[in-house]
Amino acid sequence: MGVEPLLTFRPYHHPMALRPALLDLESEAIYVLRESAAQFDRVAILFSGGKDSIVVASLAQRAFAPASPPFSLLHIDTGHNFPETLDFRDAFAARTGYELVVRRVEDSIAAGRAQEEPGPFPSRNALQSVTLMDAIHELRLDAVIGGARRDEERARAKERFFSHRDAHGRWEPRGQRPEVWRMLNGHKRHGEHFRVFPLNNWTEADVWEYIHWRGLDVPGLYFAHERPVVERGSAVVAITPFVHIGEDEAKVVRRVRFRTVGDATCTGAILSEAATVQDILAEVRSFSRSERSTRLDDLRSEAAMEDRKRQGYF
Amino acid sequence: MDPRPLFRVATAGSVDDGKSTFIGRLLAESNAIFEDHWEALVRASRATGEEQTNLALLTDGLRAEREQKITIDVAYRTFATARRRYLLADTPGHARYTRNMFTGASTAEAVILLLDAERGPTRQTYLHAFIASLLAVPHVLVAVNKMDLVGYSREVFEARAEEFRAGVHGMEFGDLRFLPVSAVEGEGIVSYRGTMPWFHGPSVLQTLDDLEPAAKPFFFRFPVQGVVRPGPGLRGLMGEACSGAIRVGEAVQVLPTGETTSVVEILSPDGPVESCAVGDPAIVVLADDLDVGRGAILVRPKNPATVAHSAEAMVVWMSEDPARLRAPYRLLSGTASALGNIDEIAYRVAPDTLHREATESLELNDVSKVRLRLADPLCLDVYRSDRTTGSFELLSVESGEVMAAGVVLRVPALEPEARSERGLCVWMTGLSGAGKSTLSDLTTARLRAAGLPVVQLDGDALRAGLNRDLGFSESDRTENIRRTAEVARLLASQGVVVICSLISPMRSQRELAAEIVGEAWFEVFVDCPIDVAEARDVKGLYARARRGEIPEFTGVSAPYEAPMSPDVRLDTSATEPQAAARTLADAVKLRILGAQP
Repeated sequence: MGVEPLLTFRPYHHPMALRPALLDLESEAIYVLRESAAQFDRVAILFSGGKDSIVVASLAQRAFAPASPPFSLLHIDTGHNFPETLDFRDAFAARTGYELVVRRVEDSIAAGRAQEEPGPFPSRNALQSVTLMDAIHELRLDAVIGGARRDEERARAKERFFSHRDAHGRWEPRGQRPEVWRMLNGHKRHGEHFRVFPLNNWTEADVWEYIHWRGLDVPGLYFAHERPVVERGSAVVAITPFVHIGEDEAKVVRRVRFRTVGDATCTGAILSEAATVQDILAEVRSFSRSERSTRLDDLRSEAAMEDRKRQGYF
Repeated sequence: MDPRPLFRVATAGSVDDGKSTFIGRLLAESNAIFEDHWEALVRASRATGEEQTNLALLTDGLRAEREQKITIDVAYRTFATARRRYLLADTPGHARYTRNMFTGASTAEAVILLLDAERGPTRQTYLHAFIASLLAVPHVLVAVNKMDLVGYSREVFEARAEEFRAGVHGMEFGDLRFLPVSAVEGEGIVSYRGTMPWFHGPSVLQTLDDLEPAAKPFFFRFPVQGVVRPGPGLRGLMGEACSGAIRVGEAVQVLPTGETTSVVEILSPDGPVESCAVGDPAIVVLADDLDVGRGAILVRPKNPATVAHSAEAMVVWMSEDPARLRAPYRLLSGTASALGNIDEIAYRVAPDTLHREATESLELNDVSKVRLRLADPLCLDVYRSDRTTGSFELLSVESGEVMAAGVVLRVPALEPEARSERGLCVWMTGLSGAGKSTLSDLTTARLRAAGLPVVQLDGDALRAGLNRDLGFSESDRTENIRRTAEVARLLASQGVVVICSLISPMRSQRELAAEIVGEAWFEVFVDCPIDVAEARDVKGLYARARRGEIPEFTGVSAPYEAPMSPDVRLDTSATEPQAAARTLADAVKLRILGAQP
C-alpha cells in the first residue's frame, strides 16, 4: 500500500484576504460575540472603563444591532480606581443602556474571602480574581467576555477565543482545547465556564484605530493632561491616595497620559503630548515598549501572567 | 485606516529544526519585538547560562515550554511588512503535540515548513507536510534551515529539496517552494547577504508578501449563528457567509429542512444593505416565517449542500482517550451540531511511513479515514469545496472536550431506508397529568426532524380502539399493557421508534412489558409530584377520583410504584417541556447510535 492522494487540491479562500485588516478583525470579533450569545445562557462583558472593554462593549452593540446585546457589563472594582474611569463607566452604561453590575474587592476582603497584601499601600490586582469568581457564582454566569489580546504578553499569546475554565475557575494552559478552523466550542460540564476573548488577534494600534474609525468615547485619562507625579527611573507614577510616595521623592507636575487605566496601584503614566485619538495612534505606532511595560504587576517574575491566569485572572 | 490586509501563516516542522529561532528572527527582523520583551529575553537567556540570546523564549510562553525547551501549544504572534500584516501561528514540532500543529495550520493561508539542512527531513516533517496537504493549505514554503552548518552548500540544499519531494510523493500541494535559510545567522529571512549567491529566489518575507490569496469558492453558504428580533414581528438570522454572497430578493433554500423562500432584507451593523458576502456580519430576514434556528444553513436552491446522515472523512484524533467505535460523540460543523459515531475505521496513516494500515482503535494524534454516522441530518460539503461546511470536530458528549477534528471526503446523499435498522420502544410511565402526552408529542417532533420514523402509542387512544374490550380489573390492566408491548415490539423490530405513554403504575406490569419488548426497551420515568399533577388535572380526572367517582385511581386511591432505575428520569415540575423533550430526544438518539450492531 502506498500513499494515494486523499484530496484533489482545490484552493480554498480564507475569508480574510485583501481588505484592510481592521475590517476582518471587526468581523471576527462580531462572529465571536454572536457565538457567545448563541452558546451561553448568562454572559457578562468584563467592563473596567478601559479602552479594550469599551471596544468590546461597542462591538457587541454592532453585533446585534438593531437589537440590544444579550450581555450585561460586570466591573470588578478594586477600590483603587481613578475617579475619571468610574465616571466614564457610569456614563457609558447610562448612554448605551447596558445593565451595569459592580462587585467590589473591598467586600470580598470584608467577608474574609480575600486577604489584603500586607504593608501600607497594597495592590489589589491579584485579589480581583477572588471577587470575579464569586461574582461568576453569584450571577450564575457561564461566560465572561474580556478585552485581552494575544499581543500583550507571551502567556496570552496561547489563548483561545473560547477559553475553558474548570469549576474552580482555573486555566490549564497545557490542556487547552484545540480551536480548529473557526469553530468555537462552548460545550461544558455544569459549573464550568468560559472566558471569551473577541480581541485576541488585535494589537494596541488596532484598538486605537477602531476607536478613531467608530468615533468611540474614551476616558480623559488616555489623553495628555497635567498631573502631579513622581518619577521612578523610567516609570511615571501618578500621585493618588493608593500609592505610597516617599518623603524624599520629588513631586512634579508633568504632561502625561495613561496607556492603560486599570488599578491605580499598578498603572504607570507616560510622558506624552497626545491630545487626540489620532495623536495617540501616531504615538502608539512609534512605541518601542509594550503596553504592559507600564504595568508594574507583570514585572514580578518570568511567569507572572501565566501564574495569575491559572488562578482565574483575566 | 491602515490599508494592509491580514495574512495568516503557520510554521511547522520537526522538533529541533530551529522553528522558534526562525520565528524569533522573523519577528526581530520585522521590528515586531518591543524593547521590554527583548530585555526580558536577554535576561532570561543569561539566567539559563546561554551565550546567545535565545529567540525561542519569545514564543515559548508557558513555563513548561521553557523548562522542557520545546513548544507545546500554538502561540499566535503578529508582525508586519510594508505590504501585509501577518498573524503567525507557531505550532509545536514534537510528535506528542501533532494535534496542535493541525490546529495552527487549519486557518493558515501558508505554512512555512522548517527542515534541518544537516539532518534532512524526519518522519515529523513528512507528517506535517501530509497534514498541510490534508488541510489544503494553499501555499507550502519549505525553509531549509541551518544552511550555516552545511557551509551554505547548494548541493546540500538541492539534495534536501529532492529528498523532500520524494518523501511527499502522492501528496497534493497547490504551491510548493523551497528556500535556503539560516535562522541563527539571519540569512534569507528578510534578505540574502551574499552567503548563497547561487540562490536567486526572494527571501522568506518577500515570498510571503508576494503570495496570492487563494481563489474563493462561490457557492453561497450562510451558517446561521442564531436568531434576533431586529424589529416588531421580524425574525432575523444572524450569521456570516462562509462562501459566496447573496442579494435581497434572491431565492434561498434552508437546509437541512429544505424549504425554499427568499431574502427580503439584509441588515449590516450599520443598517439595511443590498447584499452580503464572505466576511460581512449580517442579519438576514426571510420572506416566510419558517422555523429556522442555529445550525441551519442558507444556500441557493441551484447549489445545495448535501443533507447527510453519514460521511467519509479523515480525522486527527486529539484526545488522550482513544476513540471508541460506535460510541456516541457530538459532531460540530460550522454552527451546526449533531449526535453521531464512528461507524467504521477504514485505515490509519502510520505516522512513520505514512502508509495505510488497518486498525481497530484511534489513539492521540492518529490520522485516519473513518465513516461517520449521524443521528441528526447535517448539511455537509466536501472539504475541498468548502472548508467551513466540510470540516468538523467530534466532542465528548459528556464533557464537551474536543476528541477529534476532521475533513469531509465524501458525503453520500440521504438514504432513509438504510437508517431504519434498529427501533426502540420508549416506554413512558408516570401519573396521570405528569405530562406524558405533551412530552410524547414534542419528542416525536424532534425525532422526526432528525429523520427517524416515530409512532406514538397513547394509553387512552389504545383503550378507545384496540383494547376496547378491556376494563380496569387487575387482569384487564395487565392485558392492556401486554397488548401495547406486543405492538411496540413488532414496530420496533421493523426499525420504528415507538413512544408508549401509559401510566403503567406497577413494577410487575412494566417488567412484563420489558420482557416482551426485549433489547429495544427504553424506560422513561415522567416524574411529577402528585400535587402538581393534580393541580394540572387537564381531564378533570383527579376531581372525579377525589369524589369517589373513579375507583382505584393511581395516586389517589391506588399506588404508583416509581421505577427503580429508568433509562431516563424527567421531572416535569422542574423542567420546561421543550427542554425535557430535547433531553429525551437526545437520549433516544444516543441509545440508537450506541445500539448499532
